[in-house]
Amino acid sequence: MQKDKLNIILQELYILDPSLKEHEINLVKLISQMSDLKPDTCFDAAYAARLKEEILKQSLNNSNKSFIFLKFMNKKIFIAAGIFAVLAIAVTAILYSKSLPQSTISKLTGDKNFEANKSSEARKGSDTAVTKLALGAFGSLSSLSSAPYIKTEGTMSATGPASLSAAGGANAIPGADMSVSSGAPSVMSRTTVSAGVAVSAPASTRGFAGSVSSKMMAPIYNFKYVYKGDPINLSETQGDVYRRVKGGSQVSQDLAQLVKGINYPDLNMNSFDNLKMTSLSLIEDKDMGLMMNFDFNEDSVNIYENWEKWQIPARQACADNQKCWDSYRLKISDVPTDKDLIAMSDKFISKHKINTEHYGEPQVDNQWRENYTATTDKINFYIPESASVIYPLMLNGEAVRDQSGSYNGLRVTINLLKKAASGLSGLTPYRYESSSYDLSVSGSDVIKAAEKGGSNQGWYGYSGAEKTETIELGTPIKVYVQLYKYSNNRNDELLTPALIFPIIKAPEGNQYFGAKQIIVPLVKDMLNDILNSNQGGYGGGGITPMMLK
Amino acid sequence: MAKIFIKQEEPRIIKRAQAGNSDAFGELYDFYIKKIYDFIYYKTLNKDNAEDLTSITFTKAWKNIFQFSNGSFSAWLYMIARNTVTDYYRGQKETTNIEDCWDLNDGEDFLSRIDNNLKIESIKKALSELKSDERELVIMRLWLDLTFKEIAERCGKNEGAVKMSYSRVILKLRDKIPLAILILWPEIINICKKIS
Repeated sequence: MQKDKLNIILQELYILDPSLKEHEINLVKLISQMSDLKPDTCFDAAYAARLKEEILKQSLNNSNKSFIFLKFMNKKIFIAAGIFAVLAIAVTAILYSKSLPQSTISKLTGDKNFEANKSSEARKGSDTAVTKLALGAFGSLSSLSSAPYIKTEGTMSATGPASLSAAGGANAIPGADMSVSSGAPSVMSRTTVSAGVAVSAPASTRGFAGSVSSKMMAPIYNFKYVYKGDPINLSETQGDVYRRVKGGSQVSQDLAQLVKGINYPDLNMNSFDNLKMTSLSLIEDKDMGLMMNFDFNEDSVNIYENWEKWQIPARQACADNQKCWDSYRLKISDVPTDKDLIAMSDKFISKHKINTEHYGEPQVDNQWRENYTATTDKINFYIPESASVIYPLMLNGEAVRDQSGSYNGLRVTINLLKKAASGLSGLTPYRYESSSYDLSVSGSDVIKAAEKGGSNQGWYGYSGAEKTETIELGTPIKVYVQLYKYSNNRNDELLTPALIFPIIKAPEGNQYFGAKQIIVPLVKDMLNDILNSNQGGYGGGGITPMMLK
Repeated sequence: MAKIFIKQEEPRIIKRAQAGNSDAFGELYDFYIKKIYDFIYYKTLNKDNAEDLTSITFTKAWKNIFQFSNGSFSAWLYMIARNTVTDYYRGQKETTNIEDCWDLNDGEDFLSRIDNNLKIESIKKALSELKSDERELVIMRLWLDLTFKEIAERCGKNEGAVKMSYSRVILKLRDKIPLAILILWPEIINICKKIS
């Protein structure tokens, strides 16, 4: 398997679930093996040509029309196209820094200096803007909440740490009136971030990392959520939903025009019309170099380690010798403090002039530390080789959450072996459209939805459970939650108003692998989906994640 | 030189095909034939079956293209392919929930008909623990090299949900497949080859 492809697949997984980094050795073997086992499909071009002829003989209503035979691209053309693609990217990369208009570069890099130098205010407005649209402009939001895009037992350890700080905070969305506050300080101040890492579900939040033990056996419990917070009074009948504006950027066309200008001997680039570049990859060819991927369809930039340039040769030589690998394992004392990790991240942000104007104060994703604290077998606990520093995306002064309740935004990866920032994800232009939607004002409906598991439905229940335990939910706070809506070949990224309920009490002595907070959307369509859902487990209507004792 | 398929032109090509223009359907066929064939092959692991089912898939698509309204054409085509495979294996075996060959028992002459028994047997061992849709996800990402966006499009699912499912499947694979087996596979295959 090609190392680049392997690296991309690994990085994808680490973005989805940073705790997987702990299993890198196994993952590399697993993915390599899976990829290498890919069977030859024995595709027969002659068969395809015959089939095409046969099928098209069965013309629908135009049987007399003669069929123009389309030949398959032969190998020579494939090779030529491949060489061309490589050349195009290489040349583009060279021209990119020299010839692109500054507006293009600023869009790619988010460089504030370029932005400041632009003379056109209109252009600036299109780069950073929220455009108000008509009521319900994004169509029905029904069914969004029923797609359980949520981390389950196996991935819970990726949940952001500070997301557990919601012990009655007062992070109300401006303009969205709700009387549930209990005066906790803002979670966005640097000093309160570390305090916010405290686990509000004591003895119950151990992820699988480092805590998989003999306790992973039966008996099996189901559980149900029960609301124990203050009464919920909602008064806003409408609220704004935000949709990120993607694509339509001039950048991809500018770059494509550069490529079109290449004098390629075996292919006339001018024969192609309306070319757009969809993605661009660049690498730093140096020790600890980085790899950048620009996705022009998604308008996003991701930075990864240029994998080969971050290797430790002596460790690579360990091959399958586990003892050798273990000798390179990090100790708890090797892990920098949060302050140092944030300093490394800030340095990276500063060096690359990354625009953090719309992101909040950084905080370290320390889920693994909770697992480490919880485990009794500290010697065998696997200390992850990377840490994440999150700069939460801010909207109307509030940090945006993902569907697990964790902060969502710019994430800088720190390689703990090298003690250096090694990646970045979540960097997108701050361009949104907003549209008002009907919100629920029924506190009882919201509580009912929370007790069904909110949008975190889809947990595994077990009909043969011996006992149902109770998980207590505390007073919620208002947040924006990022959701995806896929329809008509379009994948929209929406930020919707929601309530987030902290888990304030879980049964002691049990390993509770369920959600650490429950999210309930306030948009009526979405809330009704949950209320009308048949999901809810086996325990009398409550959602019933599996609990192991 | 073959006509180059421009994805952005696809809606117009489909409209022409829906009007009965076989040339237009030919363009769609050229663009999708290998993708669909590979997809079916990975679900059947048998060249003859893959060719037959690909033939059925494209015949259905051509005959029913006027039923395609909007959305993703590739998702529609993959749905036809998926259903065709499911129907085929349902006809082969009484058991329900058969969605592809992975769920067939080895007692049949399945292994005698495959092209590369040892390799495919290894794959079967690895992936038999997964559900059909989970296997499809692995196949699409690791073998067909599709991006999450493309997978979401073909499956008619949310990209975010696909990503999360993928990470879960990898975790499941990691947990289900003993590492020793993974490490030993190449050796086992080599030994088997020597013996045979």
